[in-house]
Amino acid sequence: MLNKLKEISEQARQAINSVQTIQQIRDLQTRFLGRKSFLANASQSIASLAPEQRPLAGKTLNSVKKEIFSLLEEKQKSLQKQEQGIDISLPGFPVEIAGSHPLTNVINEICRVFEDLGFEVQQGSEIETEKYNFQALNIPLDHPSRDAFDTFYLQLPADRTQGRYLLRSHTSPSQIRIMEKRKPPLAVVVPGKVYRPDNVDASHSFMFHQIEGFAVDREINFSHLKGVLVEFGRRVFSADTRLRFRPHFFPFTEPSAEVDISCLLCSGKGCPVCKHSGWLEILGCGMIHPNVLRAVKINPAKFQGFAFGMGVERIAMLKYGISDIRLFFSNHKKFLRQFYEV
Amino acid sequence: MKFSFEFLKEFVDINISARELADKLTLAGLEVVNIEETSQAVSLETEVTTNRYDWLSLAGLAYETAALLDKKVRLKPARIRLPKSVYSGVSVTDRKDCPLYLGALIEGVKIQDSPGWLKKCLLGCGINPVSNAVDITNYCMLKWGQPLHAFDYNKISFGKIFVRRAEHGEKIITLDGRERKLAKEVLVIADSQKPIALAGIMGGKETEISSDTRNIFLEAAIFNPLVVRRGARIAGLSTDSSYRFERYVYPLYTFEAFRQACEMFGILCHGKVASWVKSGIISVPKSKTISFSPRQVVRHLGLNVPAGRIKKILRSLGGKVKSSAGRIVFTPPAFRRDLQAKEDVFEEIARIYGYGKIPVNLPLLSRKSSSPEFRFDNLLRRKLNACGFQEIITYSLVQQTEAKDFSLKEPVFLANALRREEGVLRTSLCLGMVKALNYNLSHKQEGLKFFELGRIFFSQNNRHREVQSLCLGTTSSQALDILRMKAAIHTLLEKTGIEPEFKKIEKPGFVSCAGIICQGQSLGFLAALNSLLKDKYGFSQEVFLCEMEVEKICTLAGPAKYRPVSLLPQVFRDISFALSRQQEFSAIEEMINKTAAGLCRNWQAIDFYSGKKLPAGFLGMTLRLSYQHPSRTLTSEEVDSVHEKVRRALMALPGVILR
Ligand SMILES: [Zn+2]
Repeated sequence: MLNKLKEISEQARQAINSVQTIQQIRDLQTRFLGRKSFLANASQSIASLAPEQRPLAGKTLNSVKKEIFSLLEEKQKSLQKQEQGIDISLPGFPVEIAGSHPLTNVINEICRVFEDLGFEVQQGSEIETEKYNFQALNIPLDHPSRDAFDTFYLQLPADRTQGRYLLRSHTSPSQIRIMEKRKPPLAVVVPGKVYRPDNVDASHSFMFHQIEGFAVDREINFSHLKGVLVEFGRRVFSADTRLRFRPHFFPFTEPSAEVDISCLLCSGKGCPVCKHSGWLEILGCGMIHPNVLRAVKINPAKFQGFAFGMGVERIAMLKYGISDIRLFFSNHKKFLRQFYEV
Repeated sequence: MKFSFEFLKEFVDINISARELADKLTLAGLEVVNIEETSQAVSLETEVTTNRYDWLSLAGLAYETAALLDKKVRLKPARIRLPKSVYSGVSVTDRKDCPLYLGALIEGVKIQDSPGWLKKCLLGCGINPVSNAVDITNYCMLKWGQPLHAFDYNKISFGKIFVRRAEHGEKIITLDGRERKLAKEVLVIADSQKPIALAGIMGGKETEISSDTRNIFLEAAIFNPLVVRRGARIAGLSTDSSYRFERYVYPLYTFEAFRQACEMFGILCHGKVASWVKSGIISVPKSKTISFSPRQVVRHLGLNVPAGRIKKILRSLGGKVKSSAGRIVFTPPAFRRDLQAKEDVFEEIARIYGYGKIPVNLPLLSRKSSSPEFRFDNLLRRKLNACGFQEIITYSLVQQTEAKDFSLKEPVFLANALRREEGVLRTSLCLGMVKALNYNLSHKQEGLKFFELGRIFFSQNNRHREVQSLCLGTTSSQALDILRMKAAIHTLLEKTGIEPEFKKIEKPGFVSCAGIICQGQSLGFLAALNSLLKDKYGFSQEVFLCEMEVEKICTLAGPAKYRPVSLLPQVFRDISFALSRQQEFSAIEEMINKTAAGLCRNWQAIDFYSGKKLPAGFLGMTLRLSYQHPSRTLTSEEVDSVHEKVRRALMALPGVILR
């Protein structure tokens, strides 16, 4: 018995010495210490020995088991030590993640802020008529106030009641369409493409994006307009963004305002981007003109509301410090891939 | 408009700096966009909104400044007494075109440089001094907002002045030296022979004041704003004069400006008014009284301005204020034509009180859900991103000759296109996609997988249509890679709940075309650009395009459907063969379905190859078939037996060579 144990101990020592892999260690473990191994079953053989031989045999069996176990463990440790990983300072293999266009990201970010404030998002047509682009918005057919809305007209036969067809020059026609169809209370934002016959350069484009917003109810007032826009400024730009409301003129709102945000670069101290004023013009807004409400058969004595409109490209350019509007439409992959949803 | 700070100080006491005044004006709605300080003068440049014609004169600016600073305005009218004798040579054809015409014959003038103070004043307002006569007209225009014109009287044929529409084909050389052909829409000042000025826009070269001028005919008139506007548009001109006429001039100031100019011609040019004429009447439309309660102000602005403060603000604007039965009755000054309704008055109150003092409140809005179209677009975007497609946005205006390469739909043309390159609305998103791919390839960008979501437009049965479209585009050096695109579209649609079929179709401009079909409806197509278009648009690579109608996808879309996952073992068997171009792969699919009797539900092409070992017109491929029994484990004998049946059936198909 003792000889047999010695023999096994010797075998194990040799076998473990020549081990190369973790798998071989597992195999040896099974072979020498596993359920079917000699050592596992040796206690029964010891029981059949003469009583005086038993203690020594038992002791030897235990020490052999222990020895093999620790040899295997040692070998496993030394194998692990030898294991070579990859030099992780080597450059990684590139992974590309596709994303939305930066303008889509900005539109969605802004719409989400307004959705949180209780607005719904709707969409409108890009082909519109004079009635919806101008008249219903209190913009007279031939007046200097229309100069700001130079427009692409379409070679389509004019509509008898709505006038000529055109590409909307702002998203405000959607305001009219929605108010015409539905009753207050209303709180809606409308993102979309608009068109103006401007020659393309770093800051002009004949196609760009706007977001229109409006709310109509019995007691909506100018302070609510301020509240909604202050929240917008804080969430879309930064928590410490300040807003400045300047009186302005738009035919479709009264009172009207232009809104500036504190300069994102110098936070109001003055720098070349804000032309040393500390402010950046960001949107136009006001209380919806009673003539506009009348045009959609909403009684201005009972209901009132506010409206605002902003240029998406301008906001994206300010947010990211992009200096050329054409970059949005040239679609260079290296440009597009820099942006992601927030 | 640019004006000098010193000039303004003549009419109102200003006890703050130009910069402080600029801030006050800006916050009151007259945006000062630039302050120019030289050793000579401080100039403020403003952006005047179209409703405030009165801010185009120093008189109007003085009233605004006085209201903001709580001061009084000093506007001294001229003292001159005009002679009794009437100038008889003026005739106005249509009163609607010219409601008022004031003219004066000033004799014996001496044309020379203006005195220093006048030059400095004009320069401070951004106007270059010319001569004393011209400078006087500009000075009076700046002060009163009324454009004036001085003619060399001796060059007016028979001293006759006609205010009439131009006749077709008439010509004039304007002060800028350009010859202009006139049309019926243009109002002109003419002598007995020809036009001598574009009324309210620009004078003529022939009657221009020169150093030899001895007698002057001075004009101060009111022209119809619309007529001036159209005339200026036709002429492609916008002058200080037309700009003001388009926005309205105040008739009382027309007369003041006229009298002041007459007086100044006496003082600065030694001229004498020999006779003058007033054709038409000086009529000022009566101001409307506007009545409102202070409660209405609170309701509109959310700002509580005490009634006393409201009255004080309105008085400072120069109007009359009364109270009756808790209401405020306001009569705006006659020159404030923009104040028509109570909302206009609320703006005045808020403006002078300060927009900054209006509180900031959040309204309680009962939110309704956003439009399904908007949400579906974003859903598609997320899925497309997950399939590796990057969103692009291209212009909706394209060139007609290029648009028809990608779609046979009838385009909608622009009536006033800027350039031929942007003459029609896009009838397909493919053109923009092709250009974006090309642009990126030319900048050595690789792995291009783009998509665009946007409107396309076309005419159909005499009506225009506007449709939301989805376009996918990729490029590759391998023609077979269109199958990757096909798989991507399949996955995309599958993940909206649509099981698409791809059916071979023909499409001009494309090869490898498939119609994408679901429930008998065509959603769109998948195809590769043919070699002609590849060459035209400068590609050496293959270009794969797919365009689908978003509304159709949206209508067919549905939620995910669950099928239990079988954990029974799958056995894979590969089979390699060559397939003739005459034989469609769909025949093989049909055969497997029939032969494998429900044991083979999935197969995948794991390899394609071509080469000299294959007969011409054949494509080599390896198909990996997956065998699985619906309810038990298949034995390998069963798999071998069914796979052998598939092999034999495949061999029996025409156009298939088994390897
Ligand atoms: Zn700044």
